[in-house]
Amino acid sequence: MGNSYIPSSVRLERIEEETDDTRTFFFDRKIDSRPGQFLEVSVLGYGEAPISINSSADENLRLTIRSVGNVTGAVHRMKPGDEMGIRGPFGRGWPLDEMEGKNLLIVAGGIGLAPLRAAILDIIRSRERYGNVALFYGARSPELIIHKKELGEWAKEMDVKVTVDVCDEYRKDICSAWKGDVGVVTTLFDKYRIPEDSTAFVCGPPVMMKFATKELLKRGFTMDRIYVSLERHMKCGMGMCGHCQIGGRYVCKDGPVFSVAEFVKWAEKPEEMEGVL
Amino acid sequence: MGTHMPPDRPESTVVHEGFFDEDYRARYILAVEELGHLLEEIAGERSLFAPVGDSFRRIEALESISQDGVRALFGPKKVFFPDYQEIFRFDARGRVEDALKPEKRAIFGARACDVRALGMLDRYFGEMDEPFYKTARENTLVVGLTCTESMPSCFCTQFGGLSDAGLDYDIWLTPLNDGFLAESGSEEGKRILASLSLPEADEEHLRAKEELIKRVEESMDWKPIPDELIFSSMRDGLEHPVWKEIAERCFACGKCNMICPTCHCYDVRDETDLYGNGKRVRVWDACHLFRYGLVAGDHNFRGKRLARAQYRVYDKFYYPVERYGRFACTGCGRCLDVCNADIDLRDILKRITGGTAHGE
Ligand SMILES: Cc1cc2nc3c(=O)[nH]c(=O)nc-3n(C[C@H](O)[C@H](O)[C@H](O)COP(=O)(O)OP(=O)(O)OC[C@H]3O[C@@H](n4cnc5c(N)ncnc54)[C@H](O)[C@@H]3O)c2cc1C
Ligand code: SF4
Ligand code: SF4
Ligand code: FES
Repeated sequence: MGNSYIPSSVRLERIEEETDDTRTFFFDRKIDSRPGQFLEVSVLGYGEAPISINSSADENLRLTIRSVGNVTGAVHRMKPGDEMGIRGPFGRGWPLDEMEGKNLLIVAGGIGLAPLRAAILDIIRSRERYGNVALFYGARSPELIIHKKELGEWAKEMDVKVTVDVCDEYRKDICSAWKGDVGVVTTLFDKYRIPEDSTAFVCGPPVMMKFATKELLKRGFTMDRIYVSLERHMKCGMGMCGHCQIGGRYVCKDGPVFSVAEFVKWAEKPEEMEGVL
Repeated sequence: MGTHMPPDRPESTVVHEGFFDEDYRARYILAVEELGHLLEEIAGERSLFAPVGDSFRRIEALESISQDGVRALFGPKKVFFPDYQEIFRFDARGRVEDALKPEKRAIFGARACDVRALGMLDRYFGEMDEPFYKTARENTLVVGLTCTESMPSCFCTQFGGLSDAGLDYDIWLTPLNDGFLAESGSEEGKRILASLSLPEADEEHLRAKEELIKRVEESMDWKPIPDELIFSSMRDGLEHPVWKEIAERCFACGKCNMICPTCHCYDVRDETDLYGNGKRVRVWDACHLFRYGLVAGDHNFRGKRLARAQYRVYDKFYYPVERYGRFACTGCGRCLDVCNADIDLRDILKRITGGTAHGE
């Protein structure tokens, strides 16, 4: 029987700067994956970290990684030509199959746009299969926006609104050039039209997912029409090590994408939903 | 057990389910003097593990095996799921060497609660065919032993008691006056017993086994609570005051996790030397520990002790029922034996189902 802990190797071809601490890494081959799934990225001597697949299945693998510690730091030190290990893809991603003919609202915060990119590309590729689609994206400030170039391209195919949390006189250097909205991402819900009867895909930091869910529920979204992608400590990615468990579900295997309607039945609710459910 | 299934129970595949087959059943009488022959037969081509003192250990000399009539404090879990396990080795140039190597093993002296716990690990690790557990399980002969006494912390009668019915083993021994009733539960077990040319057991021996089980079960200080009542009380009892009370006493030390035969969480680490050669290892972890749920940005999804104390108990009596249709506790009482705060699952079960606490 095979040892499913042994990673297979991919070669790094190119690196693109996204923000101060976040880069997109381009690899030498395609991965058969579905939007919202993730890989366990392995650097020998450092360990593994779960990273969302940023690429759609018909382009070479890309990963957008923020350097926060051991493994992510080691990946950031890699140079084109270096090899790295991966295991996966793991998990259940965004339920795009069920969205055919429907309107969609995609809500992303900060680096949370990265796990949604593959879904956005899939939607654009078969644009006629979906109804109205809007992407509401919020970052703390203009220099923290990722996938900047692509956001403009996506705007041709869907309603793209980008906002930053703060941009005032204290940040003139950066903010004088900012022409977009100011305010947290949920303020876009009132400024712009949310596609009617839409289903929401939400990904971002825990607080952002909490407030987005709260505001969407207030605006008449039913729980089964709000999907969020959870982040948890993960050690195996296969539903074995127990670390990612919440309410008896494995985020790595049963998720990471869940609908809010699923959470409400659990005996332990995601902390992201504290005060919401 | 636990017929109370929520409609959205996730799909799961189960290994070893329904493994036991009456075709493999043969019953013999093994005289005390014959036990050595059986052990030699078993240990011949296998490494033997059995209780020595309070713990299952690799056996070098048969005389060292403990003669206790009840479970050991440290059960046989680590034979299948070691506390420290190499997953693979690597060198500085990125070459990887697989550490998955089957070894023929046998455990002797596993109790009903130990084997019932293996059935639970079969479900957890069977979901994704975890390679190390599966390899160990497939290569290990299981010889069970009926208890002849109970410990003050035992309450296995809640979960099936001393009976081996429905358990997945190769050979089951029950101490009787004139030796052991030896029963096979697998093809391999049947072959081994047959090779010893033993006299066959009769109805009388089976009745003696029933009586022994009854006597030991009655010695336990536990009156079983209906499974459905436990499940529904857990479902409705998230805000019950008992959780706050145990959280105030609990040290969050994780000992109860480490000792539990069905706890299965692990951490994965890389260990390297100065030259960059090393190994990736898997070590036991515990959901009671603070850093268990910590992620980047210092978010801790179970940062409160209350949440962790409650989680361990829900992960025995609620979540596994949803996912696998059974409790993940065997009533072995080990978690109480090691707990410095005297946290007793029996108290919690009584309180939450509306009874009074143990000893009140
Ligand atoms: C499904 C999923 C998808 C993710 N996708 C991305 C992505 O696309 N891009 C990205 O930059 N990040 C992503 N993350 C977060 C990323 O996994 C963590 O930042 C990373 O594991 C930190 O590892 P490290 O070794 O660099 O940090 P460490 O040195 O291990 O520690 C830094 C901090 O991260 C925490 N941490 C350690 N291990 C994990 C872990 N396995 N999961 C979460 N936190 C951990 C530590 O507790 C500590 O607070 C994702 C996480 C999940 C669960
Ligand atoms: S052994 Fe006792 S004190 Fe330690 S974590 Fe378990 S319940 Fe808490
Ligand atoms: S929870 Fe306690 S009593 Fe139940 S199986 Fe684990 S150690 Fe034994
Ligand atoms: S990451 Fe190990 S169980 Fe989910």
